[in-house]
Amino acid sequence: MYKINTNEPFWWGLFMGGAGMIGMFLPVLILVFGLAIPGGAVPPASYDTVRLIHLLGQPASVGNLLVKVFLFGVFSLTFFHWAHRFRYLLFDLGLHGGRTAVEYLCYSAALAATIYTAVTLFVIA
Amino acid sequence: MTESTIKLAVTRYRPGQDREPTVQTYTVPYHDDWVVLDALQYVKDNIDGTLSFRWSCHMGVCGSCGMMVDGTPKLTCAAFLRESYPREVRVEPLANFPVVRDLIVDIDDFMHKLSEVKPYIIREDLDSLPLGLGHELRQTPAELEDFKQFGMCINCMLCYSACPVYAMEPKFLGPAAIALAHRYNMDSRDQGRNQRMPVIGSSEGIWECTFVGECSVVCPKHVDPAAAIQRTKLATTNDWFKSMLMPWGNR
Amino acid sequence: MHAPLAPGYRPALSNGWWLSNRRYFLYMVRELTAVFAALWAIIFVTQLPQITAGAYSNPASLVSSPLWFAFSLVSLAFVLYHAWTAFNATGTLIYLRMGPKPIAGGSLNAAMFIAWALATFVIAFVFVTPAIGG
Ligand code: SF4
Ligand code: FES
Repeated sequence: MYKINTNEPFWWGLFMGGAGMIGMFLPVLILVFGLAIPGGAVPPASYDTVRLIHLLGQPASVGNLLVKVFLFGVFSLTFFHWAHRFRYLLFDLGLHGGRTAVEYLCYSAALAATIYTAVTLFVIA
Repeated sequence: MTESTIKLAVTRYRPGQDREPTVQTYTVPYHDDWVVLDALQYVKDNIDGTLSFRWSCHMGVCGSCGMMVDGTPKLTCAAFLRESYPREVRVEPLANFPVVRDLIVDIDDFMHKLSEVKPYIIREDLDSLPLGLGHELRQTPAELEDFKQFGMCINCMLCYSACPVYAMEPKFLGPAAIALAHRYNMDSRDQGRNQRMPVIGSSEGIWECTFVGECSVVCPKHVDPAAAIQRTKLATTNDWFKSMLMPWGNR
Repeated sequence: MHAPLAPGYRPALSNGWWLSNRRYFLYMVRELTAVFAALWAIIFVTQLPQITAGAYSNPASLVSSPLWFAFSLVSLAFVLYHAWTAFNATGTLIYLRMGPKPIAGGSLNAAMFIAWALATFVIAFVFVTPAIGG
């Protein structure tokens, strides 16, 4: 094999995973939880009491664990996708100095958001 | 008899004389079968012999006549005046390169990068290969298909000129060099991939690219360097994860 | 390597370069989609505990506000644009040849759009139909 001077493949891998997740799953999640339910297309009363308690809340079941793992996968990769694009976006807009600092900040923010999501999904919600 | 004419707004830069480039406007005859290079040659022959520009084949093969035409990198031997007429044509040296004089840019950086990616077939077994008639390294048409498109590059550097990443980070290896590395990596006869990957997979190689995609838009030979770069990112990432997960699998 | 023939004049790129042609501009829009995707996701996660406690039937909650609806609408537009650019790049990214001919890039792109339609339908069904998924 060969050696390269960088870990970029790791970050790019997360970025591409996020690109797929955002494209495949965020539209429908936004449609359901941002537009259909608040917009009244799905009755909120039946929704709150039946659906999300079943899918996310107690009692724990295989079904709600699957939903939690799914949401965790989508959101965490979304954050790392953002981190990757955002650091290049700043570069594109003229922030050419301190690239390493920008990288640390962006990926740390993504990691923090990922941990927060895990805690919310698996401990609180 | 009144002949129709067209104005050429040409960038002039004479080192040792000009502090910065200036624009000089020439009026030349207009023919709808003339390309920008014809008009420049008319200027040099009939109006101003000091105007400097590079060209050779006049038929889209040599790749030496690239310039900015109305702000877009083009081969001037393939850019017709009629695309601008009756407006004036703006002719500038290729963007993102240091200007040597007038419309001539310094191509050393690209030449150096090109040689770094070893754009030729590498064989580990060259000494033991019985080369000669009847001993060719054979290839099927399907295997040729894997890289043919990326081998069409004429080194015109229009893609570098269109690339904002190269403009901001001159160390970036750039579209054509990576496309040519990919061309040899995809060649069934080649064994040099492990020598090229550390160069194109480095932090100054493919990872600078953010897939703006303009290189593939301006390429006169439909090489699609953007595709070569994205595919190399994918391949490098596969290799990287494999070597992390299975450090013992050394092949 | 010999020295450049002349001092060399290399004009710097202006920070507004992405406004200089339509494709550069669309590239910037594509890069910006990630901001909306991540913003929507993190806000949604912060609201999850309230949502499972019934926030959608509480008119005072964030997720019942017109602001959330409007923000979701804008985010959806950006995320759909992301999906469009990402799926259309599939054939550029992936080169597959098993027989004499490589798989056409257009077919790979189309496969992504079909998978997207299926995933959208199934997920909407799971989240919105009360009888299953629990
Ligand atoms: S890839 Fe295309 S634009 Fe770039 S140098 Fe080669 S022929 Fe010219
Ligand atoms: S003069 Fe040779 S490509 Fe234009």
